[in-house]
Amino acid sequence: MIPFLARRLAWTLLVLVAIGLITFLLTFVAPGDPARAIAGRNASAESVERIRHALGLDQSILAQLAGYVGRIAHGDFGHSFKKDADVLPYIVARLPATIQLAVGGLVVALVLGIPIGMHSARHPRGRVDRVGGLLTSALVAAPSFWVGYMLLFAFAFLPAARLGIELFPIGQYRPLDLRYLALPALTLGLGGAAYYARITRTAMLDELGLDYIRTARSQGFAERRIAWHHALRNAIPPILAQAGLDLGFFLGGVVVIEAVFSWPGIGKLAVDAVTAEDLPMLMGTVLFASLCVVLANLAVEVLIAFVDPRVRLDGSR
Amino acid sequence: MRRALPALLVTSIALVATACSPATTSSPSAGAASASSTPATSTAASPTVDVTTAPAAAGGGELSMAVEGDLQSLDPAICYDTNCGPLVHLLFDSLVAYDPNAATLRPGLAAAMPDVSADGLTYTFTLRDGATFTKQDGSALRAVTAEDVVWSLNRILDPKLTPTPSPVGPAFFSPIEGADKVLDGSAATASGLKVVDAKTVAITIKAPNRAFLNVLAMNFGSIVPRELAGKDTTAFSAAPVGSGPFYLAAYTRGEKAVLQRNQAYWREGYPRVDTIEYRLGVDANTQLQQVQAGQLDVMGNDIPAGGFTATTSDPALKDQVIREPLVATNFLIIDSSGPDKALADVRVRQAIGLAIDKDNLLRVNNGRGTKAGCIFPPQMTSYDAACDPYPRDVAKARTLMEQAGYGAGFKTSLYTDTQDLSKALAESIVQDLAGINITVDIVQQDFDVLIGTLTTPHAAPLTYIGWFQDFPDPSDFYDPIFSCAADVPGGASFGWYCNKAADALATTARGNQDEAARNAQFGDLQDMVMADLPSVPLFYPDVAILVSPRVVGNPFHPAYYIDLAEIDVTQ
Repeated sequence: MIPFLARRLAWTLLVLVAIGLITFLLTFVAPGDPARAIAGRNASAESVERIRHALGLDQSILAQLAGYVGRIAHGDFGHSFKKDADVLPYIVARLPATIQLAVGGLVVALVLGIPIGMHSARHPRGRVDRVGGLLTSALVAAPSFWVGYMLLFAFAFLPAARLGIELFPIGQYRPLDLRYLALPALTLGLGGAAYYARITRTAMLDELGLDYIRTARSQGFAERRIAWHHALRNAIPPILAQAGLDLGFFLGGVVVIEAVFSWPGIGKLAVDAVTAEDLPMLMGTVLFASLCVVLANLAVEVLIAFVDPRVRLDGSR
Repeated sequence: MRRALPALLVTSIALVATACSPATTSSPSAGAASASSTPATSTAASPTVDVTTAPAAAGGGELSMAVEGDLQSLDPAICYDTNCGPLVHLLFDSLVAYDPNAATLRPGLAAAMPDVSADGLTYTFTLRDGATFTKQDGSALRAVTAEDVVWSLNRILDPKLTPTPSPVGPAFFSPIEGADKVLDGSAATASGLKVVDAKTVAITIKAPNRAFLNVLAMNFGSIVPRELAGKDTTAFSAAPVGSGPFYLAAYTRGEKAVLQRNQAYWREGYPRVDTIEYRLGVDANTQLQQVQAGQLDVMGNDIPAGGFTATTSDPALKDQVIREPLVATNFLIIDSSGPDKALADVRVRQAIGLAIDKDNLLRVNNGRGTKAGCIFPPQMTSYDAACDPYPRDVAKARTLMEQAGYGAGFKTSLYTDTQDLSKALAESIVQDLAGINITVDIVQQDFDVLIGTLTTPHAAPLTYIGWFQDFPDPSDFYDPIFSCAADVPGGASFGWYCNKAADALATTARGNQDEAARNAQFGDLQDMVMADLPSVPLFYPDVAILVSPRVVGNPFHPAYYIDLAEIDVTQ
């Protein structure tokens, strides 16, 4: 157990260092002059030079890298000049909005996806399976910004602008308010639901064909009980693994959906950083998102190792 | 001020302070009529509104506005775009301010327009009684003093501000006597900034320049309380305190700012509404939908091109569209002194001016704008509607090309930013130039990269870009872009142009205290530049937003971009 954890942690660290290094180097290949970008388009040549010197941008790449690593090690993600704010506190302040959306989206995905997948597996090529298959293919294929705009148009814009009924607000945020969370979570969840329905269907079909299910059937257990109590329990690990990875991925910011709904989370922050050419903030969000994904991977691996005795702790199956 | 949308360039370099030309003594008056036309859809107030008299109707209520981006800063030393600008304007006061919906100046924190010394160099301001800084709980901090004024203006120049000094402010305030010593760190206060008594400030500038009053009216000229503003702009941006018509009651970065009415504001009856909710990071398409759904009052960004025709032609909405000209001119810049010998020939530049179909450019631009004959846009006091030396005349253009020895044409490049609209406009220009045998490639660069190109001498033969005012004075359309001082590496010279005679005339015009004579001199200056044609004025762009039916008044302002202090809402 300890060597397994140590090895995974070492890997995690290595991945993070590599990502950090790449984002750092990106600032050198990105077009434009970082000092000019910070000073703004209107700054005089002297102010640009003053800022270049103040930030050490006139030092060698190696000296700058050393400074960058030192700051990151101290938890200093840098300063956004486009927002006149420190990067890390800014990202952390955006975390609650992103957590709500990530959890909300995941709940929608699981609540819709698992029952559809279960039903499809129990009645393969039945009506639900076929309609569900088509629908899930469409939803997996549909870009989330399109789904988001369609939901906004149908459930928020049309009722309010044409009928004067305010069902949902258009692109606004209020913490812990379901009316505000519903549409973005649904947009995130619909794509996810389709995916979970497929994973559930595949895993369940595998399980339902196994000997212990036949044994259970021969003992006269009800089909529903066999499916939900016996088979699902064994089909859970891949779903759990995916949910864990998704959560990590979402916590790094749901870029497109946050932008569509003006949801003030980390994904929106990243989009704004790109459009504002705010390099320190962009580097911060990329590092933060990477951290979420890498940690979620680690957590899922450890969790699976605990939940599923078939996975040995040396990391192999 | 820089527009948040990268369609327009705004750059400024130090205003040139050259030889003195003593002017007659007079107090600059705020009463000069604006040349601005009143657009049909606007409810623009008259520039002669008496701002000290309360309006008849009671105010109150809540108003919401949204902008696409985040706030750059709420510290007046840093803020320089159209997202934070309208907020800084509401939170702070400056010595002088603009009339409602007009580019004319009136007293702000000063009780009256300043006394100007006979040499035109020293401006003496007396602060009004009753102006107080308001804390974030709405209570009064203390009265604004002359020391605050001197401290605030020195702060803009301070090289020790953290995390960086003001990037743009010093260029505007360097005309103050002794500013250079503050800028290089050898003095803490500029010799030209003096506290006369608790209520009186004297400001001395290096050379007569009437536009200095416009500089004082910029957000950079905001007066801040010295014990709270300190040296750290990040800290002050998070909790700004000023003496403006509103105070910042709540602020979630990247999400929204909530402003409450300053109950003790010196201007009786103003501001009109009690609360402003200023939402951040809301896409312009979403803003458009929110207004239609009754969830937003004022769009802070242009109606997006995709929704423009549908919105402006919808009978239910078209009365809610507010359309105004920006104080801006879009140009085709021509490198007039670069390695390209053809473009260095004035006849070729004039031929280019004659060949361009400006009507087509406006069609491509969705009809948003007015054809530009000359440099100064219509809201400028020096605007000359008759000035149009290069109306489209392809035959005459071809003759000029022949005379210059380029009848067979030549090849060159046109630089612009990466927006689709800029490309479409550039293509229209390319087509026109093909008509006089000039073959042009289009080079699109990311806006920041393009600014680098534009400020590097002779890097681009032709450039399509806009110039948006820093302040509504004609000098801002000459000094930063056409003067010899701009014709240096890092300057924003439009065409790497330097005409000593024009510079001399600009110096005289800047210091002239007589409004009419000054405008005439700027008119002559415009004619001189137009004859040399280092840049072809193409059109004066418009801005169009949608407001909710609750909004009473026109939120657009030629200097502040959007001014919510004058706006009422119906309940």
